[in-house]
Amino acid sequence: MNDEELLRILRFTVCSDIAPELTDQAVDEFISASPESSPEHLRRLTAKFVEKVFASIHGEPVKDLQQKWTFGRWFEAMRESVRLTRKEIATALNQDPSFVERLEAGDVVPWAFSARDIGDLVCLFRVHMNAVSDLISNSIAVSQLPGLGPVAARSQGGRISEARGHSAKRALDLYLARKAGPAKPDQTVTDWMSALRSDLKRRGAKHLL
Amino acid sequence: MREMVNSREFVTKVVGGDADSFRVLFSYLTPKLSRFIAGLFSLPHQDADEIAVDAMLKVRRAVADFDASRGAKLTTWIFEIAKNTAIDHLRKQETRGKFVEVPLDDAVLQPSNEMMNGSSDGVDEGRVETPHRPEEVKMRKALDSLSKEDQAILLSRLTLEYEDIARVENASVGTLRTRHSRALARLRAAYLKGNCS
Repeated sequence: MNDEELLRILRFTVCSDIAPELTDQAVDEFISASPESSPEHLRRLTAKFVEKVFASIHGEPVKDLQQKWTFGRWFEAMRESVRLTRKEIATALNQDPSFVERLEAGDVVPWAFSARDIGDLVCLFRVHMNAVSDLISNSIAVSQLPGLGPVAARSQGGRISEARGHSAKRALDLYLARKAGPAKPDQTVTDWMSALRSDLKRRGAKHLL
Repeated sequence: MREMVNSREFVTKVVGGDADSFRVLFSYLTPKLSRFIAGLFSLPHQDADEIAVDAMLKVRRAVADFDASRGAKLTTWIFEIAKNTAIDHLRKQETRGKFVEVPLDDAVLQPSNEMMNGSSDGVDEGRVETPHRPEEVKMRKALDSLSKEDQAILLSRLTLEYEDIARVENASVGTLRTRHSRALARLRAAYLKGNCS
C-alpha cells in the first residue's frame, strides 16, 4: 500500500464521524501556525453570521408586529434581542454604522433612504411587506405629530446624559407610536413603497411579498 | 491571543453570555476555523466559510453548557464542533447530491462533558448516521494503536505544511519529515496488520 492510498484512507477516516477527537496540541498547533485573516475575509464571515442569526429566528418572515413600533425602533429592538451591534448589522448590509444609527434613531425617515438600501435591510431581517407597511404607517403617524424636537434627559446629578437622552427618545417614540392615530401615506411614501416592492421582486424575495 | 481566549476570565465571560467577549472570539477564531475545515476536508473556501459560521452559531447557543472545570479547552471544543459540523454537511450533501445550507433547528443540547467522555462535541443537532466504510474502521483502530506523538504529526500534516509545523514546534523541517515518515510507516503496519486479522 503506497503513501498516497494510506493518506487517502487516513483523511477519509479523520473526516468521518468515527474520527478521533481533536487534541489540544493539534488545535493549538493549527491556531499558532494559522496566519491572521484579512479584514475582508472577516467582513464576509460576519455578514454571513448576521444573515444566519436572523434566518434562525425568523424561519418564516415577520408579518405581525404585535405592537405599534416605528420603523427604526423595531429594527433596533430586533437587533438588540439577538445581541448584535450596529456595526455587525452595517457589515452585513455593506453600509457604514452611521446608516444603522440614523435609521434606528429615526433621525431620518425610512423613505428618505433608497428602496434598495431598505430592501437590503428588510431581506436581512426577513420582514414581510405587510409588517413593513405597518412600520411605515406608524412612522408616518409619529412624524406628523407637532412639536417634536431633540429629546434630552437629565441624570440625577442634573447633567444631561446622551445615553439617557437616547433612552428617553426611544421610550417617547414607542409611546407616540402607540398613541398616534392611523396615518395615510402621501404620494412620496406610496411611490417609495412601490419601489421597495419592485426591489424585493427584482431580487426574488417572494417570501417577503 | 490563543492563551487569552482560553483564560479562565475570558471563558467565564463567554460562558456567561457576554456579547463583547463572543465577538472577540468570533473575530479571532472563525477565519481559522474556515481555514482548518478547508484544509482538512479539501473544501472550497466559500463552503468552508459557511460551515465555520454554522459552527460558531452552534457555539453561541451551546457555550453556556461548556464546562472548563473538567480541563476542556474552549478552542479545542470549538474546533471539534466545527469538524463535526463539516462532517454533517458532507454527509447530507452525499445524500442530497449537492452542497446545501443546513437550516439550524433548535439545538438538542447536551452537556459538554460528553465531549470529555469521547462521545460528541456536546452539541447534537440530528447527526446523520451512515454506515462506515470498513477501511475507515480499520484505519481508526490503526490510529488508536499509535503513540500520541505519531498521531499528532500525522493529523497535523493533514492541515499544515512542514514549514508551519516547524515554526510552531521550533523544529527543523528535516526532523519533521523523518518523524512523519516513520509515523506513516507504523500506521501502515498497524493498518495492514488489522487487515490480516
